[in-house]
Amino acid sequence: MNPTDPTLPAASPKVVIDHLSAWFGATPALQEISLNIYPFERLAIIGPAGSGKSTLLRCLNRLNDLTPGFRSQGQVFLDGQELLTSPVDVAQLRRKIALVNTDPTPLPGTVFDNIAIALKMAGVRAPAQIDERVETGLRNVFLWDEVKDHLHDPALHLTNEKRKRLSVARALALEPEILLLDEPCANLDHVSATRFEDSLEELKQRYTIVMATNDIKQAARASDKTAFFLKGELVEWSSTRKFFTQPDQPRSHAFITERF
Amino acid sequence: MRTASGLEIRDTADLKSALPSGRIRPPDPCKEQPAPDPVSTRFTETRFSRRKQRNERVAQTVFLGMTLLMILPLLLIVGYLFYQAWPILSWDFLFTNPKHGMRAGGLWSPLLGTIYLVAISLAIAAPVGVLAAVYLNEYARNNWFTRIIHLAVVNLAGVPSIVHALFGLGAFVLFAGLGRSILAASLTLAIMTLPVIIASTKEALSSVPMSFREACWCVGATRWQTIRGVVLPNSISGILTGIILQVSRAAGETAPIMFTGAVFFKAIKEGDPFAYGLFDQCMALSMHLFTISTQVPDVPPALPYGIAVVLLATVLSVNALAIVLRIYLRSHKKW
Repeated sequence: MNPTDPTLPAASPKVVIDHLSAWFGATPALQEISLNIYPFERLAIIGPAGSGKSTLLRCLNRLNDLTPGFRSQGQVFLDGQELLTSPVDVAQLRRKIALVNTDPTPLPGTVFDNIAIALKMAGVRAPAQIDERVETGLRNVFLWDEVKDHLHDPALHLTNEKRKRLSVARALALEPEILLLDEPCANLDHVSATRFEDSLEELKQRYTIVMATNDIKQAARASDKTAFFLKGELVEWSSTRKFFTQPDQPRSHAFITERF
Repeated sequence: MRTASGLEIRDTADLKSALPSGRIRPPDPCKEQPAPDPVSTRFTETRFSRRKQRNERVAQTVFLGMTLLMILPLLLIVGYLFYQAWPILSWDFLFTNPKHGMRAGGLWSPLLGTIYLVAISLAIAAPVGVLAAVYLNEYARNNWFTRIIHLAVVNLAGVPSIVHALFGLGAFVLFAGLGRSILAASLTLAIMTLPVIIASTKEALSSVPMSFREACWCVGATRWQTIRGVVLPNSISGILTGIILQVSRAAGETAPIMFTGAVFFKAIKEGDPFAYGLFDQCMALSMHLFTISTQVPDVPPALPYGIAVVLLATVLSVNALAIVLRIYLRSHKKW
């Protein structure tokens, strides 16, 4: 792992967020955010509750479009294509930029169905292919060995941590380019959280990962770059090592030393 | 007496607790220590606690009483109807037409008419109602237009059935030129049941958690895929219950069909389930009961009760079907 300073971009960015502002009704949720996401990096977005972390993630795959009263300004580019204002196929976009929500939500149905439904909705029809990709999906998150004998049990019987990994597997089954994780370890005990972070380390080889978290230690452990949000504002964005050792902003320093 | 280690033991109780190594066992922390205060002071009855307990008993009795009060009339009604109708009930009663100026014979013509009216009206109202509810709940944005539709649905559900009857007469019988027919009467019943079906379907749809939909959208599903794959399968039991409960309403209403398609008397081929055509007029159980009890003199006393029992049994058996269906679908619901 060799974190690069964002002031010296090595590769061209995967996602460019350009002066993005967002409101829910009259309440501003994001203010003039400009941020790049580079291929195959793990970006941690940290900040206290209500700082706009989730809003940013949900802007990237346009899930906020469905929230009444939401409006945004500014631009987001994925590989040079504008996402927010130009007409894009939202369903296809969400397959490229997959979001895993805070609450792991298995759909009612079996473990198998949960992943198969995503594949079927993406147009995969052949049963053999579905079987194969369900297995790959579960192996991706190291869930296969644990659930292979319970594939046809209701997914709601899984523990919280397995549900979480199942949600990730469901997102990954569609081979997205970017994986957005909203509070990936909320409600997980530290042992499960560590296991979960280990799987992220592996996934990083193949996916660009953006995770919103309010666990500072997790961001320090499991990310390459860190962006610190406060009240909808991007306070600081730099490599994780730099952020946690020599933050530029006094507010960042206060946050990481837990003095808020 | 002294132990090997030289510890003095004063009585036999201490001897028992002396360990082989000679040490005295420390007092067991789990063993109940003598209470410093007498038991009586810990659970005393105060005026407040007595009042609380009394109120609790009163509340429970009142609620139980109300429940019984609700069941009792139902049992009395059903029991009384069966008792009065007993002499006339037979299979022949169901499958023969009314005879001798409706003073004898059976119920075939009105029974089949009611079945036609209910089935056709629901075949019209259920798809329209369910699909409209899906639109309102899943697609429609919250703006003035959808708010007006909601308001209209609620108000339509509160319109008295006689008003629906006049609307049906004007719109279907006269304006659309359907004449007084089964089709016109069914359409009128459909208009009457539609708002309730929309409301109950919306209720069932909105009970599906939002997170299910979001999980679906997040894997790139379109709205329709989400509705078909997740929302409908998880709300189908509620939707069906809402529809089936409208059967009893459609079967029981007299006013809407009186002007639009039901007739005083019509003999049809006995035992033929296709004896009515869409543009025929028909008899109906509710209307038949009304005519028999108010318009026809010298009717045998068991006859009106017999009609009431058949109407009640039709409605109750459909409701029972709804309950069984709901239990079945609930047991297949996975959350």
